[in-house]
Amino acid sequence: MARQRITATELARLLADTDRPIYALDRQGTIIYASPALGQWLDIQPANLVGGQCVYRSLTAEQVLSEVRGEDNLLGDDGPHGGARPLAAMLADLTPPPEVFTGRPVTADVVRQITPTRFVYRTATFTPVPLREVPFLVLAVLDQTDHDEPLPVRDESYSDGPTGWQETNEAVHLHNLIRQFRQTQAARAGADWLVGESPAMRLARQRFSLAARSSENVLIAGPEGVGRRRTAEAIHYGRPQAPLGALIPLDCRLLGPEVIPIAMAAGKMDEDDDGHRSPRGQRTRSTLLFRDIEQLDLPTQIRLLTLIEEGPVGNLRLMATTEQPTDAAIDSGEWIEPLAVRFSTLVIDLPPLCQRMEDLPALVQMVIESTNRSVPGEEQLVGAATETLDRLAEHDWPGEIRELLDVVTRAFQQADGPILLPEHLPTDFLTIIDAKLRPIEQEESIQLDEFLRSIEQELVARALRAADGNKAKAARLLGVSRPRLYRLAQQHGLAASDEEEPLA
Amino acid sequence: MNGQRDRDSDHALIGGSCIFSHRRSIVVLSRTSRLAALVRRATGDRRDLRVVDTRPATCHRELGGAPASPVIIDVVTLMMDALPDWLAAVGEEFPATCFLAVVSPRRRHNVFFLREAGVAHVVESFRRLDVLIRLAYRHLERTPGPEPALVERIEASLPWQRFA
Repeated sequence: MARQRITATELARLLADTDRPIYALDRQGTIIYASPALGQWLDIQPANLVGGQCVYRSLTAEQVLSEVRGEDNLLGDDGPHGGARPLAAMLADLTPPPEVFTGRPVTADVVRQITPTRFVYRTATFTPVPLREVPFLVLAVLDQTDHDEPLPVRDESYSDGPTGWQETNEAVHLHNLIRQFRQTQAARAGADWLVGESPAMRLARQRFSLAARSSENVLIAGPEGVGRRRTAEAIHYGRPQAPLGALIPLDCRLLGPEVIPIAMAAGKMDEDDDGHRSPRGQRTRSTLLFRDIEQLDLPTQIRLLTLIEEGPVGNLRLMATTEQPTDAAIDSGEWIEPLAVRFSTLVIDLPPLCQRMEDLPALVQMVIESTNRSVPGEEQLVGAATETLDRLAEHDWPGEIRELLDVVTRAFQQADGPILLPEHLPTDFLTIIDAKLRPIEQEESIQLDEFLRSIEQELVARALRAADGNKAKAARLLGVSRPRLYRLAQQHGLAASDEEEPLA
Repeated sequence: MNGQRDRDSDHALIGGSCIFSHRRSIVVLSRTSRLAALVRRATGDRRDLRVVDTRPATCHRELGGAPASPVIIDVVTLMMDALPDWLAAVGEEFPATCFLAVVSPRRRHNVFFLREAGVAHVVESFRRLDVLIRLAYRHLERTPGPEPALVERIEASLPWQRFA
C-alpha cells in the first residue's frame, strides 16, 4: 500500500490542476488517488476517499436506513442537508463497471446522491493502465457537468452503438436500478402491522426481532392477508448486519414444480455474486422466499429438500410462508417433516385478526398515521372515534389486515375533520355489516321473452353446428319438424331458406 | 366487479348471439401488439378467455374491471426504469393479480431483479410463452371468479357444449 500511495502522489502532481474530477483505483477497487475537483463535487475531503474500497452493493441495510433517515454522520463532518452520506455509500456510487478490471476501457456514469430520492450523474471514462510500480491502475476521469438522468440505455431494436459500450452501460444502469430499489425497500421495511398487545402479537414481535438480527431460516405462518410477505420483506431488507442481497419470492401455489429450476438458478447466482462482491469478506446474502410452501406437491418437496441439503440453495437464506401451522401441515400429510424442520428454525405465527380484536384500535391508528405520512401537507387525522372502532369491530375481517387497510384508507379519504367518524366508513363496508344483522336475499331479474328467445337461438345454432349443417339431423336433435327448424332459423337469422347454407 | 358483471349481463341480453359472453381475461402489457397476438394464438381453444392488449395506462383500467386477471408483460429495456414502481403500485392496488414476463435472451441478467420486483415468473423467449400461458391458466383457476349469473348457470346446463 505504501508504494501505491507514492505513485498516487506522483499522479496527483500531474492531475491536481484540472477542473475535471479524477480518481484512481487499484485492482481491488481501492481508491489510491482522489483529485481536489472530485472532493469538491462530492463535498468531501479527497483524503477521506483514499483507502476506501469501491464495492458494488456495499451498503448495509443499517447504512441505508441511517442514510434515508439522515441520522448518522459517519464521516464526522457536515455534508449537504445537515448530515454527510455514509462513506460506503459514496464509494459504492463511484464503483466502476467490473469489465474495466478485465483491461477494457469503459465509459459509464457515476452517481452522486443529493437527497435520498434525488441523484445526479456524471459520465466517466475508466481507463485501465498497466504500470511498472503498481500492478494495475484504473484511472477515472469525470465530465465537468452533471446530468439528471443516467446515460440513455438503448432498446435492442434501436441498437447502433458498439456492443461492449452498450452492454456495460446497461449493466451499470441495472446496478443503479437495483440499488435504488433495495434502498426504497429498506426504507419501507418496518413491522408496523405487528402492532398490538395481544400475547400472540407480543410473541410475533419478539420472533420478528430475532429473525431480523440473525441469518436463520424463517417460517411465517398465518392466513392470507395478515402481512406474511411484508413481514418477510421487513426481515430481509431490514437486516442490519450484511449487505443487501436479493429477496426472491416464489409463489409455490402458482409455480408448483417450476420452483426447483428457479431455486437452482438463484443458488448459482448467489455463488457467482459471492465471488464478485466479497473482496472484504462481506457476503451479499440473498433470500429465497417460498410463499405458501405447503402447496408444493410431495415429489417437488422431496426435490427441494435434496436441493437444500446437497445443492447451492443451502447457502441462501430460506424463508417460507404457510397458512397452516407446521404441526397441522405435517399431520395432514401436506408437508414432509424434514423439509418443515429445515424452514422452521424460527417460526413467526401471525394470528387472524378476528382472534385478536383487542389489537384493532392500535391497528386502525397505525393505518391512519401511515396514511397521514403518505399525504404530507394535507389534512391530517388524529384518530378514529370510539363509535367508528365499534363499527369496525362488528366485522369478522376475512381479508385480514389487507382488508382493514383498504377500508380505513378509503374512510380516510372521506374524512372532513380531524377524527374518523362512522359515516366516513365506505358504504359497501357498512352494507356488509348491516347485512349480517338483517340478511337480505338479493334477487336477480330477467326479461323472460327476450331471455327465452336467446336460449332458443343458442340451441338452434348449436344443433346446426352439431349436425354440420344437415338440417334434417339438426331438426332431429332439437326434436322439431324440418319446416319448424327452417322457421326458427329464419327468425333468428341463422338460415334464410332451404337452399342457403346455414350461417351457424 | 359487480359493474363488470352487470355490463356483461346487459350485453348478453341485448347482443343476441353474444348471450353467453361472460369471460375472464388475460391482460397483456407491451409496447406493440405482437405479444398479445401470440397469446391470443396460444389461447385460441379457450372461448371463455379474453386476451386484452394494453399499454401501461389502459392496463390499470383493465385491471380495475377484472382485478384477478394475470398480466403478461413484454419487458423491454426502456420499460425497466419505471417497472419496479409500477409493479409495486399495481400489485398493492390489485393484490389478486399476478405478473408474468417475457424478456429477450440478451436481457437475461434482468430476470432475478424482475422476480425481486414482483414478477412471479419470467421466461427468456417468446418460444417459452406456453409456460406463462399455463401459469396464467393456473392463476385463473385458483382465483374465484364472480358468482355466475343466472344466464351463466343456465348456459352451463345447456346441451352440445362443445358446439357453443
